Amino acid sequence: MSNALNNPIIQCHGLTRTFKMGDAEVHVLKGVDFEAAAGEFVAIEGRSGSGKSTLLHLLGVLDEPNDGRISFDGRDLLKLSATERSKVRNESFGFVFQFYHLLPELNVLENTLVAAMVRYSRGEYRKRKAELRQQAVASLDSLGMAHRLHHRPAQLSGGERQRVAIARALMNRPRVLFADEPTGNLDAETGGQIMGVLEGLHRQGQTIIMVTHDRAIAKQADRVVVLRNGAVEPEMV
Amino acid sequence: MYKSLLIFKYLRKRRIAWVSLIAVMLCTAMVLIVISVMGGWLEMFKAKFRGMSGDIVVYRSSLSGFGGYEQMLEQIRALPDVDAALPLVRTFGLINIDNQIIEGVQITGLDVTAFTRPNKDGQRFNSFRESLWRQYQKPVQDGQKPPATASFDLLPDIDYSAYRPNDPQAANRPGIIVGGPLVGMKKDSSGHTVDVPGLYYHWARLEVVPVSSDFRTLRDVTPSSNIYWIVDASQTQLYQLDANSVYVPFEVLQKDLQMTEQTYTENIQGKDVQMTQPARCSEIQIKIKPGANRDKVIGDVGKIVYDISDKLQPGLFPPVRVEPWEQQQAKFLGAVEHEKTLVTFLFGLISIVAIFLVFCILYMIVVEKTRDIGILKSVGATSQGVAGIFLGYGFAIGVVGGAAGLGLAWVIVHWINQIHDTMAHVLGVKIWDPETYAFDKIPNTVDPPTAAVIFGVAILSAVLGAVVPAMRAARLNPVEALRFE
Repeated sequence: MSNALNNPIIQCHGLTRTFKMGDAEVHVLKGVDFEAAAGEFVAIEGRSGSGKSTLLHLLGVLDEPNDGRISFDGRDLLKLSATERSKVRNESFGFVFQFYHLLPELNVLENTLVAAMVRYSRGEYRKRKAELRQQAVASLDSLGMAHRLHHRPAQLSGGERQRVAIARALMNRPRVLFADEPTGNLDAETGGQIMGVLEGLHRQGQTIIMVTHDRAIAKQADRVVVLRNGAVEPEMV
Repeated sequence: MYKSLLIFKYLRKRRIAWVSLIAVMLCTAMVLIVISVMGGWLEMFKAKFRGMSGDIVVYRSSLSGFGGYEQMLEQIRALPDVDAALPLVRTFGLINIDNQIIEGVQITGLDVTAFTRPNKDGQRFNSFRESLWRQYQKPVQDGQKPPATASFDLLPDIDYSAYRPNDPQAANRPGIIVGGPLVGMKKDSSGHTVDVPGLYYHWARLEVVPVSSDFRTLRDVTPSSNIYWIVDASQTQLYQLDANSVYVPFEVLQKDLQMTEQTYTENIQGKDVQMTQPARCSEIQIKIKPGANRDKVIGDVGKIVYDISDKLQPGLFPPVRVEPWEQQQAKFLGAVEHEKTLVTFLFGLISIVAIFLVFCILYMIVVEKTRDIGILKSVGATSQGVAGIFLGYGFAIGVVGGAAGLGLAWVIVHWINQIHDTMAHVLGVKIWDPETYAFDKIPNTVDPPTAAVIFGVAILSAVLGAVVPAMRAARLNPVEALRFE
């Protein structure tokens, strides 16, 4: 059970998630309670298969639990329609994945802007284009990617790709940034740089929920929630 | 915005999609080329038939023709919307040209001068004049002015007696216009007519069978024959028509067919009564004034025709009909029209291949792009938005492929004769032989409304092909999509 926070921005209660593997059922999450306060940097730590990524996906409404409740900013996310959930993902959440997940046909700038393109209608986007472009360039610049604006993902290193993924996640100024093993595919040095970026964002007040299997990485967060066999273990930090 | 960006990027960078784009292009081009050529052919046929006819035709489906036509003509000509009305006699017979060519022919008796004389507005009845080789086409080809009206008059510089020394009436024989192909008049490989040397020194004997309304069997009638001098050849460009048609003066044929007014004696209740059978013709061709309502004229003419016909021969079967020209030619035009529809349908079926190809390729792309779909959903794209990308992708394939197809079709149709000539020259393959076909040239115009419809169908087909892949993309679970390998 996590700390009871006075003003959690996101919380879940009794989350269960079961996957069917042929005839067998795999209970990945077995009634998880979790919450994060605004501006908090929480790490969800656990071994492979512990259900940490599944929890992150559920909190980010990328997936739906079998049971339980998720609320964001006081709203029950599971009562929202698919379109409303998409809107929450677009406007309030940002995602950084282990494998970067950039669109290979788009260049760095376009990849960064894609969240804004999804957010605004064509007309609105055209009106704000200069402002949004400026914002994206500034964000990429702050991540040390300004010199790579027109390069495509295939032309970037792993660390650079992850910086672009962070810039994209931040494009719509999300309330919560979800990071799923953000350093999992990087060498220690580059991973350290990415963690530096996340810490920097946290210092600016960004709420971050990060999933990692690496205790050393997890320790850089304000709080660590350990998942084991689909359930939360007592707080460690 | 992201949809159009991704559609544009996918269209440029996913080369596999070019295969479906090429398929749409080829199907569009194929259908448009076929419709253009067949449609052009049909239009040329229509124009030619139209040119050889009046606006309205009064006729009876019987070789015996119908009586009372003079009375009908008088009243029809008095109608305010009628510009001209002319009678025709049509029959079948045997032609013997100088004991060298013997053929069965369709014979038309007409007042060729009246048919080719311009009215006060300079308009002629139809374009029969333009089909005449000696009296129109040759002078035009030689840069000379053709005579204002055509005639069956014998050529002044020929001593006809010398060519039929045993015929005391040789110089007084009527003239005949024969279909060009009948006397071996041909077009060369470039489509130009090749003159037949000495054509106008030849006589032609026409044998016809007079058919009256009480005709029973050929044994009861005596064929009548007449000698004519060939004075011209008709080259309407309708090979099928020219190959078996001849034209002679109306009065001569009417007389030979005994369709002039006949008086005879009939014994009624022991008394010999002098009876009169009115003169007959086979058709009345009517030209209406510009802007006149044809249907109204048909109604007015119908009333005149039925009144007179009913008075003269009550209960005549088959009755005299009044029809627009195209209805009378329906069996010719209908055949070409059906051929066009059938070929278009068959090529349309082949075009289903394009839909299937778009479906397969977009499905492949959706599978290949599963992770991208997950990424888009993670940044907030809705299922409808994701479906929109692939429907838009299909639409773009349709627009680009269809436009390229229209362009390709236009180029091919526009240059089809040159392409055909080059093929004939290089490969020795000649599909369209102007010596055989009705028209010298392959029709080479694209009808813009038809092109617009085909373009629309191409887009619709490509979008249809994209529906299932788009639905699959929309239904993908974001997490599963992100984990897809």
